[in-house]
Amino acid sequence: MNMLLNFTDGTPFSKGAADYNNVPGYELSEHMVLMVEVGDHPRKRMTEAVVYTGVPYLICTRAMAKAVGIALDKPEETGRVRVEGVWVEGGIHNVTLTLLADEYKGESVPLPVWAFVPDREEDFNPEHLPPMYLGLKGCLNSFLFAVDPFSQTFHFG
Amino acid sequence: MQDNASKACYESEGFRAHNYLSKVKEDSPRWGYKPKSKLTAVLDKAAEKTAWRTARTEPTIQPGTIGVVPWQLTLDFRPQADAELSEQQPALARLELAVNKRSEQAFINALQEVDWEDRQAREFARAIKLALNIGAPTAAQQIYNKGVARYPNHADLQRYARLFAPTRTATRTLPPNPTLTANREWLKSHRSEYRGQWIAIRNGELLETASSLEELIARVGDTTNVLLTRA
Repeated sequence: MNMLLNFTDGTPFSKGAADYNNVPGYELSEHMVLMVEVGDHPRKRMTEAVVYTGVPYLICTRAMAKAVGIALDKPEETGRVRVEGVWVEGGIHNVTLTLLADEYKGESVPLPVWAFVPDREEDFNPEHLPPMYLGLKGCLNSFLFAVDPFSQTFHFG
Repeated sequence: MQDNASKACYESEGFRAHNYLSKVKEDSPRWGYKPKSKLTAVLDKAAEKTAWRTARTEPTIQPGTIGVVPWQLTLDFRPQADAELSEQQPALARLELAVNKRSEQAFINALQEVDWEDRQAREFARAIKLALNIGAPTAAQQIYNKGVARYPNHADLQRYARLFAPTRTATRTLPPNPTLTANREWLKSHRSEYRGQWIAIRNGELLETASSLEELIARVGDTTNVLLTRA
């Protein structure tokens, strides 16, 4: 069933949608986890990312940043973010994030976002969580999105 | 700040002021430090007195101490001759100081005192950079909004457009990915068996496991349409 959202005048709100991975009885059940692609061909990688409005930017581990070809020594800016109460220093980079749509749920959407990569691997290496957070400023606020908690669907576009 | 500097000038006729202001200048190397008229007068007085004493007691000059003070005071701590920044320079200097001290609250406090009228585009850009550096992207957004309203096409501000652009709808789309559901089902059933490991899954089938992402990619080879994540 196509569940794309529309405004009341009929214009589309979202271009795609995907279920988020909510696993009862597991740490991930407290998080909204999406499958996304990061980077550009030929180093585009598919991975999981936590939707996390409590931080800015797309925050990713240094390992994942290297894997998608981010030039860690050439950030657009230097900055810091507070992740779960702890300040983390790092660089801010431009990167392409592709929100992946499930089959029959619209289209996938590639977007330019800002990624934050910590200076030190140990500063952001969450155990038992995906290696990437989708923060608000510079990432989630670059597109329209909505959450249906009953069907566990993340709408974007 | 100026009061402390003035006190130091009077106490030691310039020497302590020299040390204090050296620290101030060190703390604000980019904006520089532009004393207000009262402080300038104090420094002039201290410099004159020290110079006078030096002339009267010339044998007591020691390298790097009193003998250096008049030169430092008159050349280093007066308003900078090439100061292209506007009259609000001290307020912007406080932003720089707050960043140097890694104090987000001091930065926000200093930001509230900045008058953005007659600012140059590069001053807006510099303040945005400082806000990002201190970890205040929302403040950076506010500075950007003011700057871009005044200088909508300036390159220094346009480079931040991607970060601060308002919410928009995507203009380009790609086909959906039919393998997501199968990957998701595999994770629900088997994730706990591989906790702490990096795993590679393609269309609902486990391809490889490894202790690091780098190792996992090396083992998998072509990672097209392969989910790489940590269990």
